[in-house]
This record gives sequence, structure tokens and C-alpha cells, in this order.
Amino acid sequence: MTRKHSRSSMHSMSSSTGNSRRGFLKLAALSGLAVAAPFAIRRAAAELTAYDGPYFVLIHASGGWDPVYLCDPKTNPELNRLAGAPASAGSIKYAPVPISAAALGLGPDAAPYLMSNQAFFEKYAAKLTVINGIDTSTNNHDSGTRTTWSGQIQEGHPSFGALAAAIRSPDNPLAYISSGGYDATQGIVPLTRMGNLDTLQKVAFPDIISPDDPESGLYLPKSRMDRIREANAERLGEQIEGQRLPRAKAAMNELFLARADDNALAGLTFPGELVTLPGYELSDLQSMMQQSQLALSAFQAGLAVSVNLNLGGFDTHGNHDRDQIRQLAKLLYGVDFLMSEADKLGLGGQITVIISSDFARGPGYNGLDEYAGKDHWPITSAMLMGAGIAGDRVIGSTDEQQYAQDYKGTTLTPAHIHHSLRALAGISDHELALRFPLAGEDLGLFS
Amino acid sequence: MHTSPLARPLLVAALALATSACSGLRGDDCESTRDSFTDKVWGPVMSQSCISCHRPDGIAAEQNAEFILLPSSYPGFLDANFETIRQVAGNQYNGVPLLLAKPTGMVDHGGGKLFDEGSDPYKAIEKFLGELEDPVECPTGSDSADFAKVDELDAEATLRKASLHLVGRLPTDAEYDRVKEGGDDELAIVLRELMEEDAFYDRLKNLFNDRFLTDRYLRYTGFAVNLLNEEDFPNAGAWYEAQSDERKRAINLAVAREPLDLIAYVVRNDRPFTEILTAPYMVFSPFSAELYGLSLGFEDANDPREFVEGTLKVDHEGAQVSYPHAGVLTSPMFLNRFPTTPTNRNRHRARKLLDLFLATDILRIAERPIDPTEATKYNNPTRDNPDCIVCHKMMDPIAGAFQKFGEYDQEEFIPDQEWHQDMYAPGFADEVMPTDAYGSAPQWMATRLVEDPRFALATVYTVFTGLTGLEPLTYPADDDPDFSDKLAAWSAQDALLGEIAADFVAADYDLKAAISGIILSPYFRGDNATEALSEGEALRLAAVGGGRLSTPELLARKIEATTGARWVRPWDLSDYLLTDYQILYGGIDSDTITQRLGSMSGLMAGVSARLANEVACQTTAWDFTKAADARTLFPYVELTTMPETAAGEEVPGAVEDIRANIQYLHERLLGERLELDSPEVDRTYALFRDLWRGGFDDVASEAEDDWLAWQCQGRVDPNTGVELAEADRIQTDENYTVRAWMGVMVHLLSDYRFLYE
Repeated sequence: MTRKHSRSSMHSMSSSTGNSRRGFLKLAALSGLAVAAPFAIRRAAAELTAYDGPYFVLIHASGGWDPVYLCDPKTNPELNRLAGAPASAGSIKYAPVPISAAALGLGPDAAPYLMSNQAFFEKYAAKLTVINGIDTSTNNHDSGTRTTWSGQIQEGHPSFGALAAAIRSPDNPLAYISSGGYDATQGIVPLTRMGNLDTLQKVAFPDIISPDDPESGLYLPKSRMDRIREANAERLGEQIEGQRLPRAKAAMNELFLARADDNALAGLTFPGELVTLPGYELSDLQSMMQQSQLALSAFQAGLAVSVNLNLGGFDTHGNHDRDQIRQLAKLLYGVDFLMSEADKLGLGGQITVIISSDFARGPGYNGLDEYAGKDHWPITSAMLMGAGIAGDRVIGSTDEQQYAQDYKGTTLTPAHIHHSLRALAGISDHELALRFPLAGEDLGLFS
Repeated sequence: MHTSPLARPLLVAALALATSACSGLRGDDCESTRDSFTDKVWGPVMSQSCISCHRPDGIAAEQNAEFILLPSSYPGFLDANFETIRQVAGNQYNGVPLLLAKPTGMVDHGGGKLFDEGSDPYKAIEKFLGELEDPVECPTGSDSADFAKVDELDAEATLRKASLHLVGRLPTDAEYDRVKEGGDDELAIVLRELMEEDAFYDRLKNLFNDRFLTDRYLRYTGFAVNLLNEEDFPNAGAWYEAQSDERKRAINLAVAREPLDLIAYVVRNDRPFTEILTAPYMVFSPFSAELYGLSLGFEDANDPREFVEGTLKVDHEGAQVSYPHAGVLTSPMFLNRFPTTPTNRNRHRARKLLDLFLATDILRIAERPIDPTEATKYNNPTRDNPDCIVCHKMMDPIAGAFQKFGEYDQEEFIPDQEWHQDMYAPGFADEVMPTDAYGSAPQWMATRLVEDPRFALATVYTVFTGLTGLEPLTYPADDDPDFSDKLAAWSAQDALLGEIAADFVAADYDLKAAISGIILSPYFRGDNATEALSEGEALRLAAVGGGRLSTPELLARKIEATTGARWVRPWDLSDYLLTDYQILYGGIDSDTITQRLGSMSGLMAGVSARLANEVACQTTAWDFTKAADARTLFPYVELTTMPETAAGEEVPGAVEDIRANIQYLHERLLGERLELDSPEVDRTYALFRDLWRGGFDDVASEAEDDWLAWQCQGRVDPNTGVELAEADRIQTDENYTVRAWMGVMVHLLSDYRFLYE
């Protein structure tokens, strides 16, 4: 996939946006600017090329999900009072929790947007690797989210998405997109949040008066916009050169780099429209699905490497049997939507999807009545599928009390997962990855 | 029983250590006793060895040792530890200070012998104890050697930056004149005057919402009102639903904003800022009062900015009981925004109280691996498991402040609700809440919170982050390769923020004093360095000065202040940056997106490019529709003012007028005071000239239309959408001067100095 291939008709209009990254960087070279100051790994002489994968989608079930009702089923009635005996899809066991919109406190309109475990695992088991028995060693949301997505419980480490983006395509304007979860970058790559379709079109084509109107004119002709940007870049270059305080200098550099290719966003091929779901109760799922659509657009245009998606509502200290199951059903529907849309765009084979949470819940309930919840539990699970991930596979395990059992003689930790993720992404030995070392070793989980 | 260092008046020590004028100054290389303690005693000795046992959750503390040190995760830990040591410095054994006798094993020491007499640690402590008898103090703040190489904005430039930030307008000529004449002293006075304006209180609410996030309830009309239970607040039901859409919006806004309005009310009325927690009342606007069923006698029943104190009574088993108001703590919106559950038992709220009002991140204090096999060994882990106790001992008593609030209905007051006997008893630090205070637990807790020295620090930290976009620095990790430079950066900032906190307390918790303190500091005023910085110096000044990407809210106000027009959606006149582009440009929605982006991404650069194009388009011709002396942007030129003749000969008077207007625009939009012959004016003039020449020739040859694009015509007031009379409109651009000036506007509106603070 290259940007050239993915450009839509919109691109022909966008040629008016004029100034290229090449021009900017040439200017930088001429003026001897240290454009790399905030992002040390960037190369001043590099040309921006469309990123053609692999792409990474990191899906965070925010609040702490319950694997017992998903991919790590138990027969122990103290832990499981909904699903009965585990079911299997291929080698993967799952909890066959029945799904009913009404029982989950939702209206009938919501029913089509809930996906049962059975439907999900039967559809995706052949593509899935399930990892059970991951010891996050924390019951703390912030620490758990951090360790799940960075592999380190301490602060100061970038998420896997940020690291992969910073190494694989650091100059890309949308390299790392996030709509939540753990998205710390530690300054190695800019973070992007995406909005709605109309506004994205407007900022992708800022010199066109009305981007939704192909006949719309330009604010000023291309040659004059080029002249303005030349003056602007020249001035910014001198501002950078004259600034000695590090914060301001870094900010100027960051502006310089963000503007490096005003034409880059023109490669986005926007979806015809973003999905809308009925009712406020599905607004979180709707948001996740819309963000998926936009993320896929960015992948398709060769503009993004990693995307964080987020679905909240899993911190079910109370009413676990309703609220946890409802969110799991939404989550699976959202994942299914992502995979289906990716396939439609021909991206299915290039996307690696990782799904996990702060930690897990349990073991068991914190009360006896139907409104009881499950509290925090450090032993959790992850599900992966897509590019580089073997299907029909389960790694690690927990016992009937939800304690981690050793895998290859060791307790699995998020660091192990991240070792193997880095290897999968081909970034393990990169200088930037080495700046953020992981504990333990690579168990070759995905090789 | 030993006294927790947290309960000691560390700000007294900070004040003593941080005062700027003293007899012990030693010039630019001044090393204060505090610095000496930081560099030579705390860093290499006490933070390495003593702290492991003498921390609040350490073995020494468990054995009731008096000598308790706070780790760096506690705000103000250094001053607290300094004060602790000062208090025990005189304790001796056979003439040897116990601080030396214990770790050298001369007397019984639970931690054993740590170092020898005469060793480096011994000498460091010995020397420091000697210095304590006659402490050396050094200048702080801008006068400090720490900031010697920082070139700060002068008083006028600081005024411009502060005025745009605080009240979203440029200073008046009179204000500039006063500050030019009176320097920083007059600047401080003008700042306080700015803080009387309504716009300041809008900014203040925005700033505190970044912490409280209660604007979540503005996401749709009715969100806030629907949270309220209809038994206590009957008007939240059918009465509300019967109101007009416009009135519903006004009511929802008033209800949602109530905790932020309290903050603004306290500051506007020059009350001690402690009242945001201790207020035995809520503030109501006419709209919220009606919703809550109160008649409070407003002067104008339709003025959303009129606030009156009031109290609630709620139903309990058929009787009306008084709501236990304690400022923000009992705000229905605050309680809903940070909710609890039957199993969470208000611990989340306790964590938020520690974070918001005591600058204490409990998650950092007790960040340690959990051993799941240990968790189930204890029947009551939060009381018995050491892994759990470290947090819960601090958190659970504070949770008791909310013991009378419903665990299903967040703002429901239930006077006879019992506290959980298997939790730590309600209280604060070492003090247990008496049972007869349970009915007024929030007030009891509020009093303790504001008396804690961390309250002042937390307030200053919030203001610092709001004004600079930076979190306060954290104490560097011991193994950081740049430890010494980062320590110096941290130490300078810690001292300065401590000083501002001390001034805030001394001014009877006057928040305006804290705001002025930050604005007058190098962190806000730093403009450049006086000379090239070494790598170490750059690390020491990493957090100093400008470079903050304007938030969507600040940028929206700056556009209006400088161009005279808001950048709004034509169909509802809402600011683009507060609606369509808010998230895209790094803002928050106070719901799922609660962290602002501080760095410009490619997409955000796209927003700024569109901003520049659209604002230039809508303001340029519009400004020219007005008489020259009424214009905001182009007072020195007319549309007939062209730099050259058609044949290319320069028109001298016109060139000077154009250059004068460019000089004016640089100052108006960017705050740059340039000479007419400066290279920047040359650059912008060259841009204007090139744009004009190319366009003029193209229009002459009919390669380009002489009609302006519909959106760029001067035909509609961009602020109101009202159309001008046909005769007053500017719709064509035969001379190409409108478009040439539009280009200049795009150039300046895209500039770093416009987009960043």
C-alpha cells in the first residue's frame, strides 16, 4: 500500500496546498537547523514515504475486564455464575455467556450491536492468540494500564503504539493516533486525536474554501500560498535559530515538523460517512467504531502506524453481571466491526490487533446478591489477532482460583508480551527501544 | 505517638528558607543551606539509606520512631524533611548529635551501622548540622542565580501575555503606559485589576475544570439536571422538562457549573481560597436556584452571572434536614463526577481529594508490585495486608468524609447511614474523626484539608499548570544520568513554587496573589536565554519560559482579541475551536478525553492552517469596510494603497504606509515591537509586495478574477452574521490589495508567536 495508490479524487484538489516537505527540509538543511531536537531519531534529510504496514491497533477495555467471562473461563461457581461450563472454538476455550439486551439494561435497538462470546470466538478463533495468566502485579488502574501497554509498571515509558510509530515511521504526520487508553509518548512521536469527518476534511485541505464541494475555490492561488509558506518557514527557521531556551526551541521545532508536509493529509481517503448507533447507551461503542473508521482511513493513506482505541465501563465493582457483560458484548462487536471494515479496505492482512485491559477482576464476587461486583485482580489476559499472529492458539493459563500458572517455567508478565510484540514489530533492537528496556526476556510468544 | 510530618507547618520552614532578602547572601554562586541539604545530605545520604526505614510506611515508623522522613512522592517533602531535621538536630548522645550517633552505631539503631565516623556521609551531615545554626539564604525567583541566564519579557510584554491569557483581550494604551512608567510594581497592580473582569472568571473556571472535569455535564442539555434525584430536588423532573429549550440550557449550565462557580465566587469576593472547601453554602444563579427550589432574591432573575449564597434542605424519612455543605466537597456535581459504589466506599473520592487539594498522588506513593498469592491470605486485606495498608491507611479515613452520602445515588444525603466497621475509622492523618462529627463529616474534613500545608502547594501547582501548561517537575530518579542537572531544575522550581505558596498563605489564601506570583516568575516570563546554554544549563532551564501551545480556549480568545472577530461557525456563531476543532486541536471534553495535548501534531497543524486561511478571509475585507480610524487591522492603508505603479515603479508614500501597517500588524497579532526598517518588516513587506505584484498582474491580464471569493467578501459582520448594506460592501478586489493583505494575515496567523504562548 502506498499513498499514491490510496489517494482519492480529493487529492487532485489538494495539490493546491503547495509546499512540500522537501522544500521545508531543504530549507532546514540550508539554514543548518537542528530540526531533530524534540524527536531525536528524526532524520532531517528524510523524505516522507507512505507507510505500508504493519499497522497496530491497541484496544483498551478501560477499567479492568473480567477474562473469566471471556477467554479464560472457569467452572468454579464462586467465579462464574453466568456461563456454565466453558465452550470451545478450536483450541480456544471461552465463556458461553448468554446475551440479552434487556437483561443488560439496554433497549431492543441495541441488540444488533452486541456480540456474544460464542459468535465472536466461532468467527475469530482461527485467527486468535489468547494469552491467559498475565501477572500485571498491580490492582491500580493507572499502573495497570501503563504496564499493559508499555510493559513497564513505572512511569516514563512510551506505549507500544508510540514506540512502534516512532521507530517505523516517525515523520508521518499521523503516525500515532489515540482515542484513549495509555498513550504516553515520552516525546518520541507526536500524538494525534481525530475528530469528525467534516473537520478532518477541512484540515486535510486547509487551502480549499469548502472541501466538501469539489468545485470550491481556493483562498488564494497555489503560487501565492507557496510564497506565504516560504516566508513562514523562513521566519520560523530564524526563530528556531535565535531561540536558546529549550522549551520554546522544542516547541518551534515541533511546529516545524508538524508543518513539514502540508500536503500529507491529502492522502486521506475518508469514509463516506461515520457510523451512528441508536441511543446514548451505545455512544461509547459508536465512538469506538467511528474512531476505527478514521484509523483505517489513516492506515489506508499510509499516514499512521499505530492507533489506540478505547472502550470504558469495565470497572464493575457493582452490578458486574449486567455491566461487565454488556461492555464485553460491545467490545466484541467493536472488534468485529474493525476487522470487517479492515477486510473491506484490503487491510485485514496488515493489521495486528491487541486487546487487553488494566488488569482483571475477581477472584469471585464481592457480594452475594445479583448486584454484586468483582474487585480488582492483577492476573489478566490479552487477545491478539491479525498480521503476524498465529490463530487457534492459547498461551499461558490460570488455575480455578484465577491464579497465574507458569508458562515455560515463568510467570507471564506484560514485559514478556512486550518483548514479543517488539520482536513482532521488528523494533526490538532499535536504539529507541533500547532506551526503554523491558524486564525479563523474549519468550518468542508470537514466533 | 509521633507526629506525622504531613501535619507540620512546612510552609513556615519554606517561607523562612525562601525569603529573598537576607543578610546571608553570597552573590551569584550563593549556596543556601537548603541547597546544601538537597545536594549533599538528602540526595546522596538520606534518600539512599535513611528513607528505607524512616518513611511513613517504613519499619521505623511502625516502631513509633520520631524521626520520619517523607519520600519525594510527597509534595513539599524537602522542606518538610528539612524542618524535621531542624527539630531533632539538637538531640545528642554524649555531645554527638543523634543524627550522627545513630547511623554510626554509637547508640542503638534499629537500622544498624550505616557508615563510619569520618566517612563522607558523616562529614556531610556534620557540616550541614553546623550550617543549621546560622542558615545561609539566597535570592529566589527571578533574582536567583538559577535563572541568571534567562532573558525575561519586560513589563509591557508580560502584561500583553497575561492579559490575553487571563481576560482574552489586549491591554489598553493606558495600561501599557502605566506599566511602562511603573515597571513590575505597576504591572502587579494592573494584573489585579484584570482579575476583576468577568472574562477572568471564565478563564478561572476553565482552568479549574481541567482538574474537576465537571464540564462533562455540559455535553448535552439536561446531563447535569438528570443526575439529581427528584425526591430531594423535585424540579429536576417534570418542572425542568416543561421549560423552553433555551431555559433548559441555561439551567443545565448553572447546575453543571456550580462547583466552578463557587471557586469564581470565592475569588471574586476576595475570600480566602480555603472557602472552596469550607463554605457552609452553595452558590446559586437565578437558574440553578429555581431548579433547586430556592427563592434567594436575585436582583436580575435572568442574569447568569449573579450568584447568591444559599443552603439546601433535603428530605429524609419525611423530614427536611440540612445538607452538610462543605464547599466543593459536597457539590452534587463534584460528587457525581467522582462517584462511589458500595464496594469502592468513597475511596476514589479520597484519592481525588488527596490529588486535587493536597497535591498527593497516592498511586505514586505506593507504587509497588502486588503479589496475588498474598492478597487472599488476609481476611481483610485493606487493613492487614502490608501491600494494601500503605495506601488504604491514608485513603480510607479520608473516604469517611463522605460516609453520609449514598452509594447508589451520589448526591443523596443519608444522615443515619453507618460507616463500614471493617475499614479504618474516618479521620485525617493521625487524627481520628470523633463520632459526634460524623453528621458533619465533610466540614470536619474540609477544615483539616485546608489547614494542611499541602493545600497551598496544591493550589499553586494547579495555577502553575493552568498558566504555563506544565506539570510541576518531579524529583529525578536516583539513577538518572542527568540527576544533578535535573535536581537543580527541580530544586529551583520547588523553592519558587514554595515561596509563592507561602505568599499565598500570608495573603490569607488570596488566589490572585498566587496567580500574580506565577505570572511574574521566569516560568511565565522567560523569553530567551541571554547566551548559548550548555547541555547541563539547558536541562536546568528545561521548564522555563514560553513555548506553551495555546489551548483551543485560549486561542479562540486570542483570535477575537487581536483581529476583532471570532472564528465561528456561521450557522450558530459558536467558536470553531470550542466545538468542531476542540478535540482535534488537543482540547478536552471533560469526559473521556481529559488530558490536553501539549504538542503540535500534523493534524493540529492542519487546523492552524485552516484557522489562518479562514480568519484572514473573513476579517480582511471586512476591516476595510470601516473607516480607517475604526479599523482593527488596517488603519494605515487603503485599498488603493499599492506599492508600485502598474509599470513597476515604487510609490514611495504608499510603501511607507504599507510598511507602517505591517509594523502595526506585527505588534497587534504577535506582540512584536519592530522598527520600521527591521528585517522582519522587510520580510513581510517583501511578501506583501510579491503577493500583490503577482495578483495585480494576473487580474490585469484576466488570469485571475477581480471578484473576491464569496466567503472573503466584506459583506457580513463576522461576529453577528448581520449583512452590510449593499453600498458598504467590498466584493471585488481590482487592485489585489485585499488578497495581498489576506496573504499577510495568513502569514502572521500561522506564526509560532500567534499559536504559542
